[in-house]
Amino acid sequence: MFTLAGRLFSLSPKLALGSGVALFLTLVLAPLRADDAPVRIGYSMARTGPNAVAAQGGVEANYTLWSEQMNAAGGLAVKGQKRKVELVGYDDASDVETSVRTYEKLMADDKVDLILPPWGSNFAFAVGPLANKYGYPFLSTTGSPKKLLDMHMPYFFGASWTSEQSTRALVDLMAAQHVKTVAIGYMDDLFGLERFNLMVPMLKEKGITVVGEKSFPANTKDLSVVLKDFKAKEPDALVGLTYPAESFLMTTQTKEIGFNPKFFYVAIGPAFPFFKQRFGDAAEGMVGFGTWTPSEGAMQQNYRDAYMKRFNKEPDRDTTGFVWSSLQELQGAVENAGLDRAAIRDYLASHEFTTMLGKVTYKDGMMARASGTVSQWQNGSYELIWPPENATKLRFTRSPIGNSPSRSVERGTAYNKGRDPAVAAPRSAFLRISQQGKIGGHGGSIRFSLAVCRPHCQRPADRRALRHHCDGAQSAIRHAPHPEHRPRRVPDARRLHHLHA
Amino acid sequence: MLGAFITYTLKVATGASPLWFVPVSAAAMFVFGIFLHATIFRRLSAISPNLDVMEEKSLIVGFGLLFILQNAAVLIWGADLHGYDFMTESLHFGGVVFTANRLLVLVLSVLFSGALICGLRFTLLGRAIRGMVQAPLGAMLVGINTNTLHPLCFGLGLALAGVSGSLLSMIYLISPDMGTPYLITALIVITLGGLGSLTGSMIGGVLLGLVETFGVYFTDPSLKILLSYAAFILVLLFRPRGLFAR
Repeated sequence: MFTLAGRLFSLSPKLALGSGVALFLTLVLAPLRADDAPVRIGYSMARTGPNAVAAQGGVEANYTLWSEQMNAAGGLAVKGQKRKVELVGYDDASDVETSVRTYEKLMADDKVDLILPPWGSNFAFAVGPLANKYGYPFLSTTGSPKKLLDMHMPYFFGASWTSEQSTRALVDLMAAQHVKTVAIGYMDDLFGLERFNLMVPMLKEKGITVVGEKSFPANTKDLSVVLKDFKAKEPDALVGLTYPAESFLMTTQTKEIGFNPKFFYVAIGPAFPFFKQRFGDAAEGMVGFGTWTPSEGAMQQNYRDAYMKRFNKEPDRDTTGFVWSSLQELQGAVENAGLDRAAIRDYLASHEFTTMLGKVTYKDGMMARASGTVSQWQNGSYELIWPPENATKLRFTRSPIGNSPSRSVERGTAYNKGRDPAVAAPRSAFLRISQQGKIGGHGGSIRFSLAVCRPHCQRPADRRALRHHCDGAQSAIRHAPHPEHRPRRVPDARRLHHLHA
Repeated sequence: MLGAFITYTLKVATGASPLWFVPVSAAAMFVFGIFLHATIFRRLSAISPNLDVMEEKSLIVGFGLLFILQNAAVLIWGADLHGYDFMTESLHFGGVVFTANRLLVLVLSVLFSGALICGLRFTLLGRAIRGMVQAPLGAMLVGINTNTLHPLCFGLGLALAGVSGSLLSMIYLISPDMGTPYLITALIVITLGGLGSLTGSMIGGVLLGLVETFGVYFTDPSLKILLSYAAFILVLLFRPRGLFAR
């Protein structure tokens, strides 16, 4: 009893001293420390598992690059005072549960200053509401499904195009290209279904007929059956609302079966530099998701150079745009509103930012703009082509992919035969250029093609006339007597049904 | 997956035809198989009281290895997309179009499977392996050295996986988790053909392919997995020992 009391007693001065020191530290030193303490920014990211492929190069690399750039410049400006940035990143192994727990820990226990989003729509779905609950501004760059935006959470910002905006851009582009018929292949998950359901009424509005539509699951290894079916319907445009693996498969297999639509779009895939490496000249003319291009201006060019210097590879031209832009927005907000998260939220919601994507403002938690962007491979570079006002190149040519390099020339010759030379001239020049682009292309041909194509881009009436003639020429080719001129065909659905009957 | 990455790396490094690297990745995987057997599976079979426990344990260990290898691949080759173009020109037979690389892969896989079946059926080594599978104790009694034969079989299995990975890399994109979808397919094919019957598995594989392709053609690609499972369940209901079980 005595010993216990004694022990307690002997401890208490130490305790008192300890608490005194602690009190001193908190009261006197802490405010001093807070000023040069680093700004801690937490996130979880797929460093392993199936999502790592997309998450590393597109998202986390940008976080790293941004924090390094900030620190090299003395730190992140918090209301004018520079403070170092400390990234607190954890691996979530591509697992939503792990990600949620990590963010819970970051916000509730670690009390980091800010958070950055993980990769993927389903992760945004799980983490977004949590961030909203803790009052952390959440700029979702790789997933802003409509359903999530409809929840109207004050701290949630869709920092990428909504599915509606990107679908609108695609449909408008097709309408501007006088596409009349389209075949659509789409993923049978939230990504594909949501876009497909948005797209059908938009197409109807523009008078474009859907002649074929098929959905398929992820990890599909063979799409030739679907594509042969589409080919038999001879659509003007082929659209794939697909992930990288399926986009690559679709591109390869259209080439294999000699299916060569005039307009060929696959959503996620062409924006990766790897697309060009893999398909070489066959990538020419391919259309897909894309948000920026180095030729837009100094900001984009500097970003690309810095990324290449740091990681020794090209950044992709889609996700990186959203991520870098969101970091620029966050930086701008912190600079002006400090680290008070409610103030940051208000600043984000009410101000305009100039970023990689141009001018960005938020309205109801999503980007305030009518349509997203679309890009195309042109002369070995992935260029922004839609919407027209911020597109670097208002040109649309698609070199034929696959094993028929001579077909467009044949079309051109057949077309020119016995036509009014005044109408025929631009068409043949147009075809020559697309041919040049395919062979390799150089700066000269870009300028030349722009000069040739601009005038009749601006004259819709003439274009319609051209299209009318062009259709005549194509059908002439289709029924050409020489077997080499006739496009090869595969047994289509009707034929097979006939055989089975 | 490892076979595919080995072939890809060598192809990119040397620029030679990936066909040269099919035997290379097979050999590498064979060595790796022997190593795995010596370090893990030999010990597993030593501490397991009977075959059932051994099978359960090796399944769990196998899944563990799967995760380790996949993440090791992410660390080594990075988390980017990989792939190369090889024989992508198309060939026309009548009205049907094929790509040369798919046909090549078909011919080679038939060749390898045929060689395996013939090897198991007609050579002395093959008979020894079949004997060991049927009755390990009996095999030992008639003078088959199961201590060398067992690692050999294990290595051979991994070598074949290396070959298939190498062949797949000629058609598809390569990623650390490229092998996962084949796990289920393999399970269905083995059951379809009859457990332990190699010829049956081969015919089962072709049948499943036909069911999937025709099913997708007449219905919807999203139903592909449903179709393969339906075939699987039907076989389990009516021929529980597989279509070609003896």
